[in-house]
Order: sequence, then C-alpha cells, then structure tokens
Amino acid sequence: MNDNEPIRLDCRRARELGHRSLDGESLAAAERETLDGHIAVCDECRDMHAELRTIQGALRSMAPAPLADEALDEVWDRTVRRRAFSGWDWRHAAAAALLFVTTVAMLWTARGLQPADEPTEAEIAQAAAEVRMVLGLTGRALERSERAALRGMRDGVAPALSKIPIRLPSRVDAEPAKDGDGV
Amino acid sequence: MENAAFEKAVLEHKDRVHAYARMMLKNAAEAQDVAQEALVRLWTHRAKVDVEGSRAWLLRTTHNLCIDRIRKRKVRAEVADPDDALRAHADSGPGPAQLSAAGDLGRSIEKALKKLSEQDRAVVLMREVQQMPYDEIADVLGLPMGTLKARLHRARERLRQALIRSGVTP
Repeated sequence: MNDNEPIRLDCRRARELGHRSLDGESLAAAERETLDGHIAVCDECRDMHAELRTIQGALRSMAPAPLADEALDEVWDRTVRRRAFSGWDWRHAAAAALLFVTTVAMLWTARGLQPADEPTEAEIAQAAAEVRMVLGLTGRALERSERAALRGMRDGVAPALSKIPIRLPSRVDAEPAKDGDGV
Repeated sequence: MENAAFEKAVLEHKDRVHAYARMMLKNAAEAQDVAQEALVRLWTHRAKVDVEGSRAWLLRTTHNLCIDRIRKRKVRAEVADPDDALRAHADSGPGPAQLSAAGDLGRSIEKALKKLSEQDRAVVLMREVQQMPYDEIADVLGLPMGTLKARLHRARERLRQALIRSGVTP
C-alpha cells in the first residue's frame, strides 16, 4: 500500500488500536482480539506496529542532556545567590567602599590632630582584612554587572551600542588620543 | 515555593528542560540559554508555582521560549540567505542521539525528528522522550485531549515515514 492509497477500514481500526496500545492503554478483550486478528493477516499493519514500538523504545532510551555545571552556576547566581547577597549590586558595593574610605580618612585626620598610639600588628592585619572584604564585594558586584551587560548586548538589548567598536588604550599611562585618532 | 523547594526543582528538572530545548532548537548554545532562562523565570514566579506543578510549568515555559526562538529565526531567515540561516543554526555539538543508548537508530531518529514540524516534534518529545502524562501535555500545549492524541498518532507515523525515506527500517 503506498501513501496515496486509501487506508482500508480494518487497517484504520487496527492502527488506532495499535496507537492506543503504544500509549499504554489496556485494550478491552474484544479490541485486543481485533488488533491481534488483523496484524496476523496484514503484513503492512504488523510491520508498522512493530516499527512504531521499536521507535518508541529508542525515543524512551534517549538520556537527558545534562545542563553544564557553569550554566547551572549562573542560574544560582541569578536566583538564590543574588538573594543571599541581599541586593548588593554594584551601587551598594561602591557605596560601602566609599563609606569605608571616608571612615579611614576621618580616622586618619583625627589621628593627625591628636597624638595617637601606633596601631598594633593585629589592628593592621584586621584593617587589611576589612579592605580585602570591601574590595572583594566591590569586585564581585562589578563582575556580576559586567556579565549582565554582556548578556544584554548578546540578547540585542543595545543593538546600536554593540555595533560601535570600542578600543581600549593598550597602556594605562598612554598619551591622550589626539584629534582624528578615532574612538 | 520556598528556596529549598526551588533548588530541588531546578536540580530535578534542569536536564529534562535542557534536553527538550536541545531537541527542539537543534542548537547547543541556544538550548543552554533557553534552559537557563526557564529556570530563572521559575525563580521569578516561584510564589505562583507549587512544587508538584514545577515540571509542567518549566516545560511550558521552555516550550514557549523555544517557539519564540524558532519564530525569530524564521523572521531573520526571510531577510537573509536561507542557506546561511541553516548553517548559522547547525548544531556542531553532540546531539541527543549521541547521548542515546539506541545507537545508530537513535542517530537516525534524531535526524528524522528534525524533519517534523515544531508541533509534531513537541508532542513526540513530551510524550515519548519526556514521558509526560497526556493531561500535562494537553495543559502545556493548550490542546484538547482528542486533538493531542490524534496529533501524537500522526506524528509517530510521520516519524516512521521520515525514517523509511532516509533508508532506515526501524
């Protein structure tokens, strides 16, 4: 039987029962008898039923494609870890850094006005640890902001911006660009 | 949904969501983006999604994100060379068949799945690969039960025909 040939009524009925059987339905005794009786005499329906069952088995054996660890890590960054960070975006981190620097400057000034004891080694170590903590928070927040910006550019949030070539100076102390040097 | 329930749902369904996107989009990078986006959206909507419904919710979201991507591809392809568009979306990474225990038949099925329409492919993937119950698929795709079953039966036969046309006898 080719594709254009009309399907016989008993073939149509047998195929419907065959699909229900593939769906895991338990057929009534009379339906089972109809299906079995038909495929015993119809080679095409028998082959089709067997092939559909083989295809179904192959589809069911397809293993899940594991999501990469780094992709999952980014999901945690954008969900539970973001919340654990209590909204510490780059603005909060920058404000904390500014507050820290201001406090240090005030203390420094106060010490300049009043004779103060030399800091102990433990105090210096503690201050260094606090600086590392604040810089760490700032760096992490900036890293997150950078990733969000890159995602935005990749997703076409800023199509015009993404077309502008931005050339960074190769050296921090490079000469300022002269007229006509480009962007 | 509490934090712990969210984390449990993500760990339980992340590979399922990724596999579905992978087979729908046939592109590894896009599939990863879509899977991440679906999982992040679950977090955004966690107040409205219960643990039991998280699988269906994630697959519905993943399916909709995939359809959006496919539509955008078609729009882009209309203004570009169709061959370029096909090449741009060709998946160079390992496909589901390479993760399949079904071997050669699995690889042939992967190719044949690509020849189905998005609707037929979605039904086959949800029912046969993800083994979702009918009522859940009907809910995800917004189809009446009778229509869904008829579509699955037709899609199975089209998949078989595609295999036979490519010279594979299952």
